[in-house]
Amino acid sequence: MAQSTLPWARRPQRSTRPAVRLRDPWWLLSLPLLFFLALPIAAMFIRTPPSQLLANLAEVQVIQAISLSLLTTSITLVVTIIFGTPVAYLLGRYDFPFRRAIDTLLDLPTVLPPSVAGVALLMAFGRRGLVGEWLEVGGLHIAFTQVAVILAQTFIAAPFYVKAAMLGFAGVDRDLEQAAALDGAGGWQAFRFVTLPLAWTALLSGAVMTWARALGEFGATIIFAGNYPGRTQTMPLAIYIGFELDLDIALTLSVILVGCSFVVLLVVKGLLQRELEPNTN
Amino acid sequence: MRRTVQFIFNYLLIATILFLALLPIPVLASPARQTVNCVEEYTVQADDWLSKIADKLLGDVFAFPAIVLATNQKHITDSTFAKVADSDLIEIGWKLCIPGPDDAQALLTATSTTVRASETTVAPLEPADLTVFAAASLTDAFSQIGPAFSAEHPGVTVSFNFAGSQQLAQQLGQGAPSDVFASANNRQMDVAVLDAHRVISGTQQTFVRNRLVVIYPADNPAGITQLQNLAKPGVKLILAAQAVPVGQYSFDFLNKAITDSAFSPTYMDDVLKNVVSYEENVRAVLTKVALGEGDAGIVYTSDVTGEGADQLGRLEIPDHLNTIASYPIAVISDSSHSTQAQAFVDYILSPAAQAVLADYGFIPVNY
Repeated sequence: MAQSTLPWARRPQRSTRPAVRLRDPWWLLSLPLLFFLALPIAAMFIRTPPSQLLANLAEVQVIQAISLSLLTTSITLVVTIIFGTPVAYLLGRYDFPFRRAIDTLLDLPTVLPPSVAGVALLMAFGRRGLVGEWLEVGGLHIAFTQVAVILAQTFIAAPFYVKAAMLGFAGVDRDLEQAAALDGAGGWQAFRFVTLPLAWTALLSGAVMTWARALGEFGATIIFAGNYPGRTQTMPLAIYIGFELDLDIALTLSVILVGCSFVVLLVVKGLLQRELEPNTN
Repeated sequence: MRRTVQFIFNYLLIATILFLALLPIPVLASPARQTVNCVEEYTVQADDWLSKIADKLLGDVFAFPAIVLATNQKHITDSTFAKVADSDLIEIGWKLCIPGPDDAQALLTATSTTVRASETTVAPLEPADLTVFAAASLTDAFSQIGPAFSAEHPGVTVSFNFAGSQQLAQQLGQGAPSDVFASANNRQMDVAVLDAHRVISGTQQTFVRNRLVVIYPADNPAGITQLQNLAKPGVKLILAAQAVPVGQYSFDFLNKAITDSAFSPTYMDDVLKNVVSYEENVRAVLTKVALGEGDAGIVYTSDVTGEGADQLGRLEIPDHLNTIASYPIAVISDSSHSTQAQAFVDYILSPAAQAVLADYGFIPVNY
């Protein structure tokens, strides 16, 4: 555990945790933070009775925001996996000059305020931007479209997958790959049948983190992609605008967002746990 | 005979009071104690607003409530006079009653005006740090006025929270600590008064006015030369969201345009089809048009001043389609520095601050 910065990328040992007693002081010391995290979320659910939730679910704006969010985050995820996996493998497997610089570059979007990312994307892909100007000549409009939403989400969220996958690939025993090569597997075959299955859990958890982060993306999106219902207004934007116009819509979307995120994270954790258990026996 | 006249007069007076009490603006609800003689009948021209007329004909911008009261009184007996329900909205062609100086004075003293408070000298203020919630469109002007106010009142510093007025009103509703609220429209001030209960009704006063203008990047990629061009297919138009005051005013403009013969009946729909983004405050509209991300946008005249103005072209919206936006300001009722906060409000209404606001393209109410 010690050398890993991203705990989900490591294969945890089989649980040998003893059951904690209620009187244990660790329980008491843990309560304030747990309470603090749970209270606002509970408050939101309490303010939104199920009947109201269902009624607001039928609102056009709510449906548009949800479907747009699902569409863009799915594409973001696919794009991230396609373009992120080679980067992760490169960084996880090989040593080369500027490796640390590239590694740091990948950390940057996760620590930058998303609004900075939005401004940066505008400077690059905006109509007067570095690249955007040429795209515009070629008839490609990015600003204020779903492409802009996906670019914003990818910029912010892709590093989560790449970093996790990188540690996953790094954790695969080299000898196994070499053994596969000795048995006549080509480079691709070794990757496909040895490395990938072994790093699978890390890739999955990284992908989930990327998806969840993309789903919550707000700052870069509103700056770079703007806000237009049904076109670029994702759930977080609808929540923000809705907060000023119609608190009920904002609450409904927030509850859905929290619900989705919680369930997905829980399921993935469950899957990972099951996946890990036979390996450690 | 005399008693009969007295009776009719009293009856009229009561009717007037009842009538005025129904008017939406609290200032106008104060009773007038006498009938008014018009020394002049004035017909509203393009580009007129009440304080300007008051300045021109009565020599005092603050005398405009007298014109409103006199005109509304006249309207009861003579319907050729206009009925002014909202002193911020007058229409071209309306007939107004301009009272004589004495009548005007009497009407004005009947309406409680606190606007003159700024001219009385006050004892030095206790040091305090004021938090002022101000509409995003006030960013430049207030950033300059703040230090000037502090210079006049040593020890009193001002921190600003600039955002869309609707956002500020929401924050007030959620209990955000604040001393002064300056909104870009009455609707959001009403939210602060009625929903948030953070401003006492009647204490808000208009401190500046503003109007809409269409902006486009200086090189005008979409070739915007007249308002009709906004409906051209393919124009990328950026508006503020309807919750933002300037967004609401932009919709008002479109609604007025479709009743105008110079515009096609589908003008509003065509323009709205061109909208690529509804931004959350007026500054975001400005920046995105200046960056060339949009081909055109609608902002306040006051936004197109100072730095950045040279990156933008502007297209005026004529008065009969434009909305003259009133900015109300008020002290927050639970402010812990209400004396200092009132001093700030007074300062905003003082000629010095009004001159700064005028420099930034606002229409001052006191100059």
